Amino acid sequence: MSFAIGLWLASAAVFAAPSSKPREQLRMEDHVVRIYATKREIDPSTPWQHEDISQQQYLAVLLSNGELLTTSSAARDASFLELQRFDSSQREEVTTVFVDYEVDLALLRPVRPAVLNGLKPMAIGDDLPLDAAVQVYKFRDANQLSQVAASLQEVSLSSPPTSNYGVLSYDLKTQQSGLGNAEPVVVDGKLVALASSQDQNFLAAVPATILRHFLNDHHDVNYRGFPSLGCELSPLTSPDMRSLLSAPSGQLGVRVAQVYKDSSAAGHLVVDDVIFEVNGLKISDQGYVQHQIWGKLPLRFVINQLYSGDKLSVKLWRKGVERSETLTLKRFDSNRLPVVTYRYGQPEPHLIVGGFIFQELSLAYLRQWGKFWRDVAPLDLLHILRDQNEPAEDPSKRVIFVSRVLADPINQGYSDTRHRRVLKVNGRDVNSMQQLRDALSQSVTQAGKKYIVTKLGPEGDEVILLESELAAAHSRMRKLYEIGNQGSFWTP
Amino acid sequence: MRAKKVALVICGVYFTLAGTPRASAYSLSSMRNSVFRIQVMRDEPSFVEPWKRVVATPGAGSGFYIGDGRILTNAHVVANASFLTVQRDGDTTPLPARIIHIAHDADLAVIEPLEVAGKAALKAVRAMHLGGIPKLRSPVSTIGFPMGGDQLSVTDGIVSRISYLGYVHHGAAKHLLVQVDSAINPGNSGGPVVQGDQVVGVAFQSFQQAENTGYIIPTPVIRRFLRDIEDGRYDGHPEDGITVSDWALLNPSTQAFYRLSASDGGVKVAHVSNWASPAGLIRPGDLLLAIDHQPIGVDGRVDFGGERVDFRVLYDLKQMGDDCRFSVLREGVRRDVIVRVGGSRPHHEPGYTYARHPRYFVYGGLVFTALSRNLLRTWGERWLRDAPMTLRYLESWSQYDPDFADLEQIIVLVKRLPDQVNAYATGQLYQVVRAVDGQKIHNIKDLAMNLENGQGPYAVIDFFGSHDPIVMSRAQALAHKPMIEKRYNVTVDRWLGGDNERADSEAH
Repeated sequence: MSFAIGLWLASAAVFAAPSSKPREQLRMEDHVVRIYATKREIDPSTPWQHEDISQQQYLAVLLSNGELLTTSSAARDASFLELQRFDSSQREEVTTVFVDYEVDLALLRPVRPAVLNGLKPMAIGDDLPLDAAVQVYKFRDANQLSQVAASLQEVSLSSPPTSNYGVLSYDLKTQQSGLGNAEPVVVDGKLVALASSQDQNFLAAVPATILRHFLNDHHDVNYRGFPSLGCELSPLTSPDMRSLLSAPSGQLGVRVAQVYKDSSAAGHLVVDDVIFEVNGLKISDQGYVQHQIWGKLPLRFVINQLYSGDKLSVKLWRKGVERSETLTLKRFDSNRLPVVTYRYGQPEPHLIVGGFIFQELSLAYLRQWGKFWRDVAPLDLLHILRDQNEPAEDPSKRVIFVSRVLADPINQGYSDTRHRRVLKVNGRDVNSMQQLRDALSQSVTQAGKKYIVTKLGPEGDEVILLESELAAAHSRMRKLYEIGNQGSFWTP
Repeated sequence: MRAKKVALVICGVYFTLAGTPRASAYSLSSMRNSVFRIQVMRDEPSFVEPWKRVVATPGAGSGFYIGDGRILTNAHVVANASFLTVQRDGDTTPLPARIIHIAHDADLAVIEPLEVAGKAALKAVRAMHLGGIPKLRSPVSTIGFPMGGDQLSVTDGIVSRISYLGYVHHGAAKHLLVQVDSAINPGNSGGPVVQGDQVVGVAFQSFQQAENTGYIIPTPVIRRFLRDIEDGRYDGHPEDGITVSDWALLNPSTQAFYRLSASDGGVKVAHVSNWASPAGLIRPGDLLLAIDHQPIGVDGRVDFGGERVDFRVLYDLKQMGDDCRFSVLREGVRRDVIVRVGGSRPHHEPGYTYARHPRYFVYGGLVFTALSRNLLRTWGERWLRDAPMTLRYLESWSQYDPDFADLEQIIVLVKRLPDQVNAYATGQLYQVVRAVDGQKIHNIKDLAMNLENGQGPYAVIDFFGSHDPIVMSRAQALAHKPMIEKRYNVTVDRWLGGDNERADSEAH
């Protein structure tokens, strides 16, 4: 794997040299199509139905194999996708070929391939040096794109809008607003990045190195995906901490702060190991590796460049003794966390029991509180997200909660219940929808009658419902709340 | 002494309502000599650099004479007072005064003139007498010195609600209060609210989102306070630590589960805090059917002199050491449970603190303090949104969280006084200390003792929700202490608190 990284760095060093060939006049409209995405997002608080239908526009770049490269934001929650060339008023249906939400990229293909005849594929360009001037192409009107000047301010590791994977990203500075819809970023007629989101004057874009990784991987038979190390690292700048860990003095090495179970690092690394080299690259005490063009980059950048299944050679100090470990990298999965990161296009698991809507806690649910959801969403749910959302041994572990109650005589007295974590059902722990179903089937018998007893956090209130009345109550609710077959009611 | 006897006589009959309303029948002139303007210079501690006190600010309120040389007012009028005076309408000279007793949880205080001459001057003042709870829709008059003028002001209003709600000065305490439909403005606080010639409450707070919505502290709360301080010490309102599911027993399935009928009433216990007197006596899952023989409705309310109020009012008005009798249904058996009120173990109390100093400890230039509402308020008026999420969460939910429920204080790293010894401790600001050298930290004394007396060469400070501890050489922390204290003018490196938080406060 050190070979792979070395090769990549070498190629990066060559790039950014201006081409000596006379350039043709670039007409981006010959390389790019407009994508109309008709979205039907599931309403997180009414999980059996969709939000209002909306339509959003993105751009997509034609590749040499006839596929269209865009961001995964275009494909997520899309019930119908269409393309429109800039020289035509016709729209044509496109389908999603492949999506990787972790890095916010997607490939599309028109149902009728001939629709792309005459358009020219665009090559993936090179890595950019800092301060490089780039052109970003955005919609001007139905027939043409306009060109926006931007410059590369920073190369950083950040999470794309669609996942929580830490991936290399360009931060481009621009005066133009309204970007972040897969606009191509171009230098010398080649695609060097794809815009993914914008925050004021900074445009985040997926850089060419990630585009290449994604495309190379996809063109293999099996997509292996982007890996993760599976542990938390913390800086080792404190001489006192170094001394405590018996790490040699100096400015080399980071501390392993936590190792996740069943991860790439499990069985190889332990807490308080000091990693000072991976695949031949030295790691600074702040967790950086040195990059030829971009200077210091977080260690995770090295992992970004590899594929799941690759080997990673790690040198470390453990209690002052140097040792080597070879890890097999596993694919990163944002949804390996108890709080669901994304479920684009998939049904929202839920169960209605006596009007109580049981759901899996998700970021989509918390984001209902708007732009400042991290400040204003219910505190106990935010606390779970911050302090109890680490990869679990059991990947199916979820946070089950009652989002609200459909008022009905069966739940009289409890109908104000909202946003409450489920602690137990019928005396059993509930950490997944399956466990919820299992627990519901074990009702509590009292004086010959069966009851469902649900304990809610954080205070521990109990809700008691008579099992025999559920069927009639559910029938009333289906009618009153107009819940179709999409709504999942639990009845014994 | 006369007032004490009156209080003793009346305290047993706090259910008595005031007689026939006749707010307009009193003579203002007979009362004006009993009502005082109170002027205060406040000198508050800093909650981020706790060895300092912030610049003094002026404040004003009202108070009234209750006999024995004592003036009753609100705690928030005189809290953090470095100097205070009292003056009647028409008097030429303000009299310097001092706080005798202060009850921050009940927002009440007793003050007296500082000098002999001032005390002598009060002998001619007529004491105002406490009445009962005013009836709903009866007229009341609020007397005091609100903003906008110097003279005594009288505002008439109507009693609109009797409730059990939060007292803003404390931030988390709830007590009985009476809502009136007249404005209570700054300066009114501490003034008497009268019906006829009797005081039926003390004006103390208003609802800013609504016009003409004021609140008064009713006489049962005032009498409880006066009786509490009879032994020369304020012990405070008891905390029941019981969380109940209101309305659960309204549910037909739940009634059937417990074989109750709709008329049985009662509330179901969800949680009992381990620090409270009922812990071990009242259990989660118990149904509370009555308190002191008063049936509790499914809404958690009891009859209180003809009005329906939260059942906790009866517990809340007791003195430490009193008994409270609960009628409990547990595992199908009705039983009486007697709780000796008071004696809570130390625990994190949400709300504001009014100790002379915030509890704090400075070690290696790291400033640790106990979480309080005051600390959260340093993030400004929008602290509920702007303060760090974990601190906001703990302020509301720590008693239910097993990681925090047994903590006496929640210790927060609030500042780093930059120095070579702590140059690497930059990522833990506003985190909550979990352990030092693996020993769980329950209070600021624990923290100081474990940091200073730990045996290892390095102090390892762990934080909740973090895998990134601070490691600091004990020898270096000690060596750098004088330089850090000199550079940042840290005059005292700690206030670990006394045995009694209330005794540590301004009362002297």
